[in-house]
Amino acid sequence: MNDNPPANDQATESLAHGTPPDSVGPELPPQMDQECGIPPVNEKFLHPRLRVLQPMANTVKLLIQPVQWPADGTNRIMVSIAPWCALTIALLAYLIVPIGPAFQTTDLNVGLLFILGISFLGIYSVVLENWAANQRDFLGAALRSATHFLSYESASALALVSALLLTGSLSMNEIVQAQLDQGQWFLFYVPVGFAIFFVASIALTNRTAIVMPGSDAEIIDRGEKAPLHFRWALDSLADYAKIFVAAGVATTVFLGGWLRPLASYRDRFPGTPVQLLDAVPGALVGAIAIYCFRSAQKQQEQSRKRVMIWACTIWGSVALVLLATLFAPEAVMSGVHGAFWFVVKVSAYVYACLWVRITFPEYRSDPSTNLGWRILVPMAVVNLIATALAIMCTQYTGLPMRLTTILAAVATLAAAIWLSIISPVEPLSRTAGGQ
Amino acid sequence: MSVLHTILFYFFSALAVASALVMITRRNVAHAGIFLVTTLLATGGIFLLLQAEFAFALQIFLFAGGAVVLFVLASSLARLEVTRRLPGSQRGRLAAAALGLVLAAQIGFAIVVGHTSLRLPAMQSARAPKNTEAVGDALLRQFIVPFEIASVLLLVSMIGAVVLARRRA
Amino acid sequence: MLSIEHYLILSLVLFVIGVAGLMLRRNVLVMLMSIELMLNAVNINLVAFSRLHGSADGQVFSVFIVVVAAAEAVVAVAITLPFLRNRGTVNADDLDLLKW
Repeated sequence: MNDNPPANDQATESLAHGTPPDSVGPELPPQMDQECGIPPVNEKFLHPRLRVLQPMANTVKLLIQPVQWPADGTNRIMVSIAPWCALTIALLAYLIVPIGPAFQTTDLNVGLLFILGISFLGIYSVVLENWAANQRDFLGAALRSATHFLSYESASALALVSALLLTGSLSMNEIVQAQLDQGQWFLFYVPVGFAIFFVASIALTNRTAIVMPGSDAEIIDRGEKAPLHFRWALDSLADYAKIFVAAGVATTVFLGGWLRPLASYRDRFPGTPVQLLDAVPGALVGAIAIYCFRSAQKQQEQSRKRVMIWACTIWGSVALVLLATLFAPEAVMSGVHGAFWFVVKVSAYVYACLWVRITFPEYRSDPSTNLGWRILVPMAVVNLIATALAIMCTQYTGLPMRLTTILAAVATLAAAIWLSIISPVEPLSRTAGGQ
Repeated sequence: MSVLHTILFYFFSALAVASALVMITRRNVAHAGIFLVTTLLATGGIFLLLQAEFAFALQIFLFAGGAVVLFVLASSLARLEVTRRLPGSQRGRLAAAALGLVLAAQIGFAIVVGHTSLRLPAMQSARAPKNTEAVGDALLRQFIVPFEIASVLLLVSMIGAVVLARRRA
Repeated sequence: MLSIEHYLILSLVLFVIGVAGLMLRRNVLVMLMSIELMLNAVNINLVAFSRLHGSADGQVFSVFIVVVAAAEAVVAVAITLPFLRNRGTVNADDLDLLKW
């Protein structure tokens, strides 16, 4: 296993085990920080035969690291509860998201408002962590992070509301049902809203609460003061959990939730009760299984061959389940296929988020907050008004909805271009509360 | 089902009262803010028990996620974490506590002992119709004028706050 | 089993705690937080009565109370911060410029 590319190995295995990857990139060289006396987290210390368990062992070691506080006078209680706050919010939001037609933990009447409200509570984790660290420059970091967070949360909330205009209800189940009734994902009715939400979710989740130097999840070469401990691990986990929450909410509101693409197209195979497009998931996953099988035969080494055969079995069993439920009762089929489409859409969204995050360097806090407050929030408000006007136009003049919403999107984009021309991008002036 | 209701009610109310008591005794302003958030969330739970989901969402959004954030940020900006116990601030404490108890006794008497004269019927057990719809309907039909005045009020208070807190060079 | 008196007594207790906090604490920000607590207690009262009578009026009123509470918190903090900058204290006993 030594000559596998490390990114493939460690990142995917740690993601598969549900833990935050130690670094999305090549591993740290061993013998890293012997000066500070705390044993390094990323070195390979297991027997070569157990090397496949190395990421799990690294994670366990991370979790039992000795606790490190940012400074001497830190308020320990507040600093400890901050990452739990972020994680609780992320986990609570998944109570409401519908994964299938009957596959929802609870259907709150105000589901979307609940998710928005508790996402706003995430500002406490950002502020408390930095402020309670009791260091001079962390206070400025706390306030900067707070304004950054507020701006992007407001923009994403307004973008969600503009999609909400097309349904009559805040309940997540009703939103997906409305997309089924109108025969169109809301992505095609409010594309600008989806873009705003996407940008906002990337900007919100790239910033963990802890802003100590060297505490970023993606830094490869850490200095001596590398703070890798349980609180940091919780914070990184909350970071990734927030991406999944944003993906779940975006999927439900914009991408049609558990609906199949072209959900109102109901042609069947002649002679069978099976619908044409419902066979697509099974066929796709079966194709992936066949690809894995063929690729397994081409591998040179035994270990890689075993991995591909294992992958082929997994994909093959999923394909079998998807194809078998085509002939099962309606409830089972819609449940399984609904869950499949939901997982596909969430995965695509998360993939896009991580792709953007890996490609571009992180924005400094000033231009990012500038983008949030001066461009995204006004654009979201204009989008809201334009979508409302488009819906009224459709009701009173009878023009098709797609035409009016496209006009609304064009108007919003024109407003956005105008805003970015007139808004200056120089950094904000220094105040006493800042640096 | 009503047993669960009762247990949840006592849980949330105990949480709310305990957090409120802790909140007013904290010397650290930020700690007091955090306990206020706990109180507001517990009250939100009470609203959920009363099947008032819109009030619950509003509580979380505006109260806990808005007003208290403002307090926490303001106290952090002003570096007001710990307040000193100044001399002379202890006088009148006994009178204040006694006044509070008298107020509690008066209203409590009206509720508990005199409830026959208040003529309060029992709570409805039927499920309330779609809460958000009803509230939104009332807000935008019957109470549209207060709604617009509230938005003007918010605008004015935002502008006033920005003007007041500006640093005069 | 739960009657309206339960909610009214809870609201009363929270209100009295808010009043006590307002009278006993001298830090302006904690006094503002006690005011928020009092408004919250009144909200419980209103929502309980609205549920009792089955109309949405109480909850609409509670919406307005929340809005007014937020606006008042904003303005109060905006007044407090320059005062803190100039005088260096937010003890309410020291805010005595208008005294004789």
